[in-house]
Amino acid sequence: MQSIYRLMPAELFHRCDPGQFKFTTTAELAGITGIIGQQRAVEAIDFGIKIKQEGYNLFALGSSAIAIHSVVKKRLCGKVCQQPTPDDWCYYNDFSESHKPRVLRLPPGRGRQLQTDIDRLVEELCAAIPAAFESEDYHARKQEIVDEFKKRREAAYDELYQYAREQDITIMRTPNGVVFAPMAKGEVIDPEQFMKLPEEEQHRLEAKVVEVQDRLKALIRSVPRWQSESREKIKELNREVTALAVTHPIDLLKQVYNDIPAVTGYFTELEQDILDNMAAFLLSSDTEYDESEEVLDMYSASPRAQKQLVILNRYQINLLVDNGGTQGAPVVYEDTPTYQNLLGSIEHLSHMGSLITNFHLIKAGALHAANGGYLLVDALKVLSHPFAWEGLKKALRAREVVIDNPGNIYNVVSTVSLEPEPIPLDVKVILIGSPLIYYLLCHYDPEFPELFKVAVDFNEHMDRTPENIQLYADTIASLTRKEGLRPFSRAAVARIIEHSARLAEDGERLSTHMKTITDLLREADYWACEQSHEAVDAEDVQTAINAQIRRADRLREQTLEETLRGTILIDTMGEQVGQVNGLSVITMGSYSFGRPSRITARVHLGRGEVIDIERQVAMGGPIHSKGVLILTGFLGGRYAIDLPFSLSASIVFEQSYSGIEGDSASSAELYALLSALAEAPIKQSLAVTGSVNQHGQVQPIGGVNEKIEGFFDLCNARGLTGEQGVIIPQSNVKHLMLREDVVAAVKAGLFHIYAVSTIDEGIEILTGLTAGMRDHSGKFPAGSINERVEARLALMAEARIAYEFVSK
Amino acid sequence: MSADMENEQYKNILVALDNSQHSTTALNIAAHTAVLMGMDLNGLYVEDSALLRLAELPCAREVRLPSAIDRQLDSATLAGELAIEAEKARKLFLARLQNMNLQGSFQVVRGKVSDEIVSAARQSALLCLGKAGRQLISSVRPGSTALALSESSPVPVMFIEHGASMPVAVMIFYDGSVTANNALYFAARWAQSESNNLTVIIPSDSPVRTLLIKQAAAEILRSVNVQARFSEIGDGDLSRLVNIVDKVRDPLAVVPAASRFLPPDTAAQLLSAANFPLLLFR
Repeated sequence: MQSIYRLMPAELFHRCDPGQFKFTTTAELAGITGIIGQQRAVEAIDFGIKIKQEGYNLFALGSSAIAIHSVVKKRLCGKVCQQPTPDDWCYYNDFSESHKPRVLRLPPGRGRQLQTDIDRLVEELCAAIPAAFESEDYHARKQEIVDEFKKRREAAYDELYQYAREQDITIMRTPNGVVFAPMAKGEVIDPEQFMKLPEEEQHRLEAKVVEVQDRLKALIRSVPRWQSESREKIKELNREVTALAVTHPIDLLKQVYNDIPAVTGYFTELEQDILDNMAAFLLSSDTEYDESEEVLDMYSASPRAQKQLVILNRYQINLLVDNGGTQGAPVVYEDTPTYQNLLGSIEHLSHMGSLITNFHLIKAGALHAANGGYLLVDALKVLSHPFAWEGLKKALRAREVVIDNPGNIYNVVSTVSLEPEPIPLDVKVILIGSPLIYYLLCHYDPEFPELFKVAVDFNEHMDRTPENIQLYADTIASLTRKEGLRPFSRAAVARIIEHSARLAEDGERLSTHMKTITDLLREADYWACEQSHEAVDAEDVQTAINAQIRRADRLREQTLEETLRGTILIDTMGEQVGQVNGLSVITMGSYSFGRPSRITARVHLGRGEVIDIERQVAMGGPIHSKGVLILTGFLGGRYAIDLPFSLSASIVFEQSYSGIEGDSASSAELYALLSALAEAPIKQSLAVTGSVNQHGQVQPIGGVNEKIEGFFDLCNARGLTGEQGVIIPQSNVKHLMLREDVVAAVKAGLFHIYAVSTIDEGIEILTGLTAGMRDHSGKFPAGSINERVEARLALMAEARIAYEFVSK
Repeated sequence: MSADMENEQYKNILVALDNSQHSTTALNIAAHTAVLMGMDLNGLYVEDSALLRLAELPCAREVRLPSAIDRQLDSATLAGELAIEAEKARKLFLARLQNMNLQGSFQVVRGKVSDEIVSAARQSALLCLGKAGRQLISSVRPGSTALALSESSPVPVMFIEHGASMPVAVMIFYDGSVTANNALYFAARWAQSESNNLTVIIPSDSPVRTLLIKQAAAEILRSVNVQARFSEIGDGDLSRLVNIVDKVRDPLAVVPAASRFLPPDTAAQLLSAANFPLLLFR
């Protein structure tokens, strides 16, 4: 009976025939530029790239082993070349509000040109303005103004002195001012003589003194006004002279940039500011300039050598984004998506113990660099950095980048900073992350679906069709060239395809984890080099696979060792009632291995419940608990339709000290339960995997290859008896990609793989007894497993009824 | 100094101080001159008695600068302020004396300013003072004391304007008079001690007289072994004289106060026109 379900060696491993390839090595293949096995994702990327509406940013979700970054970049690079190169972005000084730098948009490459032109302009003006002020005409006109003021002042004082003399009043200097006194005969009137004068005369003289004094006071107060008028005239003259030097070169530049009104506007502002602050240019040269009060504070403290630099800083633009060397739309990957790296930052300099800044210290972020193109960011990284996710969303929502200090929100840093004008944003952001992050964001962040409408869902595997196999070979050829590896022989390619199917856990599919495949190619090349092979052969690939396993399987080895030493109790021969060998998979990083576990069941009279001990002690996951509860449904439905289900059973994974999840052991648990109820011993030479539904159908599970190999390794270590084997779900047969040694043992009849579709099939293999089907009268055949189970449950039901009757 | 002056009993220079910028420059140049000539340096500050008398008037009011606020003036307060000024001048003078390693004394007197300076200068070989005192306006006009001393100083008097440097080039107007001879001896000695940069400017009213004057000057210069350049100006051409001096860097103009080749008010005119140190010989 067992042989019906026994699989043939050919079914255990879906071999890739090297003969199907028409090449000897991959060197003969042209390679491939496209992306294989990701048609859905590629279509989504193309859609996301083309659609221009707001919110159609992309989220590429898939395993990290798929190399999503390179796939997305590859796809983008093929498209962006045809897209227009975005503009350059600059910040420039707002001369009226220097803490609010303004933004300038220029066609690509013109930003750098403008920067160079302003460098030259400032250099030219630093020479031309002082030269204009050194002209004789300027000095003559300035002297005229100065002389005019002096003459006016002197004339006023002369007039005052003259008037005082006429009034017989003398004016004399004291240490702190000026004093007035009446005179007599050319001398200051003697005080005694003054006192002898009639009172009326004294008053008259005093009135004269007061009058002259008032005139002087009025005069003294007028002088600053005259001085101010004089200074204004000099300023006007200075502007006139400066304009002579400045207007022409700026007009020339305006002509160069007349196609960009914003730039010509900037030049107009720049010209006006130079006229207002020409003193700075004079201080930067050897020209004598005495109107120091007009000089900007920032210039006065700087050494002359730095003054030209200070001037340049005032007028030079900060070229934030230079797309001069960019072809098409930029594709930017930000590896460290902090808030500052994404949205830009305003740096500060320490100066005399203070933190100072200026618009030249505005630094671009990745959004600036990607503006007009595409920004790739790892979702997990952006979520990990404080403020980064909120900052990114804010920029996408507002469609502009505002550079500020996130610390300001919490007043962490209190420094005078800038408020740069926001830059309009036109960028497609492509987040890359795991499906888990994608679904968490969908669930918990209401803004996320609005901003990232395009899901680029990457396939974990592809169909193993002849066409795809050929494409895979082409991809291997491309990768070997890109990585500079030896060519791979057709046998090596076939072995890689077989391994790819193993990675996909499916003999009919291939893995799309190209990062993993690329690692294997590199390592196979290494081993080929060690063996001095000109081309990488299948044995090199196998050596690489074995080495990978060897590096990772320390724990598997230890577990096996402990089982062999009898520390972990697993029987591989004999029979036991209520005890079966289950199989589980342990994953350590990228390596998984199968491990047999003893599952036992005990039954007794009860109220129709199957107790999952793992669940009771909170070591079982919800899926595992669900699997156990299904058993109750199966037992009740099949054996206790008309009677009270009076079973109480307990099931446990023996020697399990960590959590158990998954339902792949539910069939094994049921076998143990049936064995316990029927008191039919189970062969311990067999192990079982597969989940079960309420109708007793065995359903597929994951990790079938690892599970089989795990039990095989144990049996092999103890010595294969020819009785040992594993029962798997029929629906898992297509997934089989077993190790060569397992297949060889099966071929030699030393090990067996059974594929079953129902619990009845499985229990027959395990017990060697007939499961039994109900006949026309609804009875199971006598002595069959089902009959024994049903009879036991009936006895329990009767016992329970009797017990309850007595209790009442 | 001239042969006559070498025999003089007094070998000191007197500098009159009033704490104005001009007098501070005068102090600096007087100190350098004292070092150059190997003389002592005496300082003088005069408390103006006219000012003190004026303060006693009931109608005397002071307008303070630069605020233009007025106040009643009283003689006690003014006397105190003058004493402070005198002390300030004394400290400045002594600091310079020490700095230049000179011998000398400082004196504070009360009286009419020009009279007191004349009186003190009688015991000095040379008088130095600022071209003007503290003025209401920044443009330099000769002060009343300077004008008075240009007429009445009993000894050679050097007028110095704020900003002047220590003279290097000596420019002397030589007319062959006794005063001019004394001045030429002084100028030659200065040139000898400083930089050997001496220019003799002679009047050119007639070729014969010009030649004679030049020969007389040459003879004096030969006697003291000093070389000089010669230049000529027309009769009474003071502006030409000022121009010649003005073109030289760091000049000292040495001029007889009264010369038959120059206008009668030469001293006053030169004081008004020149912005370089001017040494008048009388």
